Amino acid sequence: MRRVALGVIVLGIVTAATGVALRVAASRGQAIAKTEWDTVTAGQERSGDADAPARLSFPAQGEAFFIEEGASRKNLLLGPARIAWSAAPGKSGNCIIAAHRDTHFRVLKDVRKNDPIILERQGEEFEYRIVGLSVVGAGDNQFYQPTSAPVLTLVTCYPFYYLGRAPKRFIVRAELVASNH
Amino acid sequence: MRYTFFPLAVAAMSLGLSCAALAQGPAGDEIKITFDRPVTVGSQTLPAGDYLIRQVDSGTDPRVLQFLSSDGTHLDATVTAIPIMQNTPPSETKAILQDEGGGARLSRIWVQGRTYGFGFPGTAAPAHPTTTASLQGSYAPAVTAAAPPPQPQPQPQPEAAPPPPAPQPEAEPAPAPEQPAPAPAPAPMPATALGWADLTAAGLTLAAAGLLLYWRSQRRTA
Repeated sequence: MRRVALGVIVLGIVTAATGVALRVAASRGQAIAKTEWDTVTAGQERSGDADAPARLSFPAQGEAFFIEEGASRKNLLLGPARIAWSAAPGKSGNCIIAAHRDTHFRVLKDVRKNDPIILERQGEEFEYRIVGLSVVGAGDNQFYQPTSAPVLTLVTCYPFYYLGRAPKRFIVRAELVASNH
Repeated sequence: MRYTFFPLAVAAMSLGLSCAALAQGPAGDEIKITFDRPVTVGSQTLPAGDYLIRQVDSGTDPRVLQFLSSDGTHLDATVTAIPIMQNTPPSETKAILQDEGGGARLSRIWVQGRTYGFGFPGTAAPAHPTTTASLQGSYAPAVTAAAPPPQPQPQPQPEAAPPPPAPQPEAEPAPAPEQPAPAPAPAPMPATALGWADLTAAGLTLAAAGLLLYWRSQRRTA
């Protein structure tokens, strides 16, 4: 009995530590991305490649995140990630960025219609304005379709506070209103 | 022991449920077709089976078609088609295959009740004599009104059809090089829940249950 109890304790500690480690990795990923961002912006590098770092800011909420390219599990652990097949930031088309509801995109629960969203990349700054907030089913892909106009779509799971697999998606749709490019 | 099983179940559920659903639903016009043999579509060869063909709203002139698994969850191919026309709308949706010796190639798709179809240019001069076969399919128009349609959508009127490449009905579209899809294909969204809080809570519950068990066993031995 005592061995079983000890085993359960160890398993619990390992499980809890895994959860904490994931949260730390999410924060650490953003810290590393910020370092890279600072290096690139300080050097004013304009590599022109698709993997150039990008920053997503929510001025009204005072939050900013650094975008990973490609929404792999690893990238989503480290930060918001642009869906690889979606449009590039600021360009014509639908730029889709996804992130976890319980880490980086928890901020989406506080955004409101007409709030600004700033996307910066390689010295270019694109200002978007939120035009709609939607909750859709996980299988509903109407907001992921390509568009002719430059729009930004932010995606995360919904409800924001949910034990296990959240059944819906929270969509923030924003339109490009200004650019310094 | 029931103190052990409950936290274990909580931990297992937390691990298993921390990923979000990977699914997508219909958005554009859809055609269901069954290939009874491997068929080359564009530059890819799809095995025999049921497929869902979905028109992507690309916002550009070329028609981008997705070939998905029958349940729409897996993208098998994305092909740019050429609009083709005929005067009389067909009574059924069908795919025209061309057997070119080495295998079948998708040549055209005609849509039930529509004067337009989709052409898939192949090799300019096939090495083998070609034979044509026809496969029946089913057509379902778009049901969502939310997706903005920047490109002309299929209309029943002939004059509203997309720009035809040639005025002759049933004309084989001129061979053209395969183009990559101008707009990438939508795919299922990734899971967007890390579940770190679930794991932590489950782990702490499990550890607490273990401590309780340990305390009880200590009391029994004492």
